[in-house]
Amino acid sequence: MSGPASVLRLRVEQLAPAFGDVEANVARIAAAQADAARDGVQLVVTPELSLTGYDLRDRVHALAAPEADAPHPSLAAGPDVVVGTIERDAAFVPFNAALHLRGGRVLHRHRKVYLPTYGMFDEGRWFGRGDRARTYDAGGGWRLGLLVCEDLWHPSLAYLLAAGGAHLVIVQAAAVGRGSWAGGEGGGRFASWPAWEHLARAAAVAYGIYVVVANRVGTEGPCVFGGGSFVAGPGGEIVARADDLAEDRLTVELSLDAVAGARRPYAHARDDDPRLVHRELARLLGDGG
Amino acid sequence: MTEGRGRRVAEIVGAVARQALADRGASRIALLDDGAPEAELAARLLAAALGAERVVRVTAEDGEVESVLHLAPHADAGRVRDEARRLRARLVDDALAAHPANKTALLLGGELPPEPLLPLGDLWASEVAELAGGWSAPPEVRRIAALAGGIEALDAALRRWADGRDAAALASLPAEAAEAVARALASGRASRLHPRIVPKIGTRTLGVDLFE
Repeated sequence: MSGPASVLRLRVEQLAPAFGDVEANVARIAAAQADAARDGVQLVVTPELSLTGYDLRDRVHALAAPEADAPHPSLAAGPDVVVGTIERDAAFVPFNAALHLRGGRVLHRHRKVYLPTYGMFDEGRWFGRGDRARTYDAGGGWRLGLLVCEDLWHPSLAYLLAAGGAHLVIVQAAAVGRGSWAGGEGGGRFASWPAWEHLARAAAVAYGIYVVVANRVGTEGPCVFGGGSFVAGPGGEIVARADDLAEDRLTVELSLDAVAGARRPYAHARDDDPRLVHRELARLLGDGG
Repeated sequence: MTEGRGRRVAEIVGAVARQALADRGASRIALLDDGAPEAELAARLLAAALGAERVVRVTAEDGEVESVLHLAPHADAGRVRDEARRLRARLVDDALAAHPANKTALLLGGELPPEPLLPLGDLWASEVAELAGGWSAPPEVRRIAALAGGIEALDAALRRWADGRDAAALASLPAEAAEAVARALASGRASRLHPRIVPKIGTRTLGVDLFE
């Protein structure tokens, strides 16, 4: 990513993907990239399954694109972009995937690990499960990690990314607004939001990282996706928050200096002991150690 | 306090109604209107989202059904009126039929209404009362509410049962009410496995993630 070292100008594009219409969604995101380029944005982040829509059921197979190094040439111009898509492996298993594209090529891919299959969710019926959580260098000194929605609810994944040196964890989401009657004073928001913010802020403050949650909006069947995307700073503060329910853009400047500053008063990141974690997990799993 | 809730409920009901029309290629809603607070509230929310011209309020008066009462000699005039509204709603061209029942009535009222859209189906009766100044339900559900000590007490127990997945929640009701609730829930359980379109407002929603 070009731009001043240590500063990353990032935009969350909180949008309502066209259901099942990859071509329309690619065009929409390409236009967002063009806007972002004009605004000096270096990285555009879109929500979970932003190229396809969410509750696709059997259409998952028809929309799954083969794993490729440059799957979307139309997204080659403009700044980096994180898109949500369905890709299938050589065994034709479809995955719910987040792709960081640079010049249209895949800089990094994360396949959703934790597929919610309970309550209103049925992802385990349609998708294969990812098997890794890795960080990657994005340039300018930034080390990033990607997660998809339910992955954030398993703090072990954010921990793995932090242990892998992440400064920024990007979480794509397709979270339905739930509990609107009970949501905050007077029910003006969703009761489901505090948990999301607690999870992101806890990871941010514990590891001294930025956590960006990019949620979608729009309606599929009886469900309305809640929006409310937000950025948690490395001190655990909410840096910015998008509108609920409506399409919106969040543009923020993230700074490695702020990451360093958040880690200066504390030694959590320095003192963390992955070997202890590894040893104790091995013991719990009966693998010795 | 109600303003924020009312605004959010309106946004969700409106968005889901628009989507339901788009998905089915219909241009308007035919709302069964029995004159109860639910019908008034549903009509208001739908008209705000779609425009009043896209909400057809379907009524049936006593005098209109007298001539067909002989078709169902064992049914009271109220039920015949309900079915007359249902028939009229189905005959509205280019429309999606909607029933305004609240969640309490849907859970305890036996078979779900057959209308595909239940715009208030995720609002408890006591929540409808807060938004609309009153609530309604079939006589048996009103009787259960009285046994429970009022609609707030009944809804509180049902909410703990549904949202908290607390099977023991109903036992907090007076014994006679608890037994009546259990019977009522059982009578509609099979019907509730077949979803209608219920805008998701609460934690667990009929047709989305409230299955027993």
